[in-house]
Amino acid sequence: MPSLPDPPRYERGDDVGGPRGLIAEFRGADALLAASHRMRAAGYGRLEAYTPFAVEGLAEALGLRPTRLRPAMFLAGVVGALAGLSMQVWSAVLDYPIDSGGRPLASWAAFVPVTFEMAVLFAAGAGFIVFLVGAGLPRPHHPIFAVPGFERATDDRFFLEIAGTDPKFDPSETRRLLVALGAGAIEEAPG
Amino acid sequence: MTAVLARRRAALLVAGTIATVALALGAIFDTAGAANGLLFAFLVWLAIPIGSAVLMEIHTLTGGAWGRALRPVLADCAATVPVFIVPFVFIILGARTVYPWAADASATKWRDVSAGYLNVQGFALRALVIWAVWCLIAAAPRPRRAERLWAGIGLALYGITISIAAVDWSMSLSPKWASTSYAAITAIGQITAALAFAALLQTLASRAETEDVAGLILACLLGYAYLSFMQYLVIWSGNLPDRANWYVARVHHGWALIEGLAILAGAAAFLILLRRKARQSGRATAAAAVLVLAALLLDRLWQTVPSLPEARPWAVILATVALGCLWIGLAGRVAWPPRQEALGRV
Repeated sequence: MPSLPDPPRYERGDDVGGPRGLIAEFRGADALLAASHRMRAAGYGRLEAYTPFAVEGLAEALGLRPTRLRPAMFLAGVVGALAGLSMQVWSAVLDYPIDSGGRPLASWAAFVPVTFEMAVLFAAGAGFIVFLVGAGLPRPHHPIFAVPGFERATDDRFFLEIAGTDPKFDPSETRRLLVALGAGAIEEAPG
Repeated sequence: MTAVLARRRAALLVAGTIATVALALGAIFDTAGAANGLLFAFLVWLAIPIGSAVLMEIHTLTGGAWGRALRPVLADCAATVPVFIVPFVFIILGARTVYPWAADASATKWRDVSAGYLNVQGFALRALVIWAVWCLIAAAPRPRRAERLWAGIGLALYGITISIAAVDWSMSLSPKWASTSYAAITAIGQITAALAFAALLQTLASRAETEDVAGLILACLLGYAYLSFMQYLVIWSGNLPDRANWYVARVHHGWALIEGLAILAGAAAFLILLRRKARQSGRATAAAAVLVLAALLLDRLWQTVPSLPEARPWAVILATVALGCLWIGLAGRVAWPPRQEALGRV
């Protein structure tokens, strides 16, 4: 039997063919923040960061587009309020009209608490779902976990990733810039 | 106070003095009208100094950038609490023309209430205690040791005294009417007014500070709207004549329009502050603060003046201008002990 060479093994999420980006390790939030600003100033646009905790101002420093979470939650809140209100009006006026103390059937004051609760419920539910979907969760594995030392992103290290698809990206030039910015270990990104 | 106000201090004091003289002249011809107008102005403006004192106590306990940023204005405002004893003395002197129960003991629901609690002597005695406590909270120098303990005691005392003050000074204008959330609405109204006023005058240094202050204004606004609506909902559901009459008197003669404007102003402030970008912008936050103050003023007008049949528009306007101008003119001048920043400012 003729032996064939092993087929190349690709992991899910691998960007086959494109140049691989770099992942640089920093020792503190301030160093990461400063490096992000400098990389942006140097013209890099496709940046991503991994930190053990939320770093204030990092999203702006990376030039990430504003989150769509808020508009989504607002819209869902409005839909929830309308749903709550129309449910009550429908049941009190059309489906099961009862004269309660001579009040009008559509007494808005009585409808406010449920309308408000429904708005909050819908907004919170939408926030939860949109966050999961937007973050690509749930997901048991990501190729970046294979980067040596990356597990410290949940502990005491701060990582900055420069995508290989970045128009400014050049393997040796970018690496030199990162070293100049005080990066510790610099690894190749997994895709 | 900020430099802007300092430059206009003289103009404010002159305008306040002119309005005060005009109000005093008016009082010769219509004492009841002037006293009624003065009570309204007193309730409007007192909210900011005492609310400032409460915010400072809260900040001493919780800390936070918002409090450090607002403290200069809050301290100047809180120091003026004792100033408000002056108009209050005139209100006690004119109590018989302002409070129905002071002129006629049968105005309360039960005679025992008039005999044992709601009479001028009792009113004055309770006011004495309230003012003593408020001066202690707002204007007394404090030992730097155990600062947080004092702040906690101050907040607890405020919670008790505002309950008595809100019932005595404004809820008793309708002696047969009662609402258990009235004092809470008054208290949160005072805190909201102080926060909006301070946010308007204090230039906030950073986006984070602005966002903190704007978020607090938003929370206070929601709390005020929530309590006000719940009071209405409970009374509407109960549907009892003595309770509901308070609202009935406030939908006729154009009063519904006043409250409608208050709700619109509050809703506009809410919609502005809903956006994060606006909460980070000093300008948008200041605009929202103006709307919040306008909403509180209109709501106070709507709550108080329908229960003041003797109040005349001229007296309400003159008293509001007089007390407001004199108070803002004085704020920043009566700080005790004189603070370094106050002396250094132009």
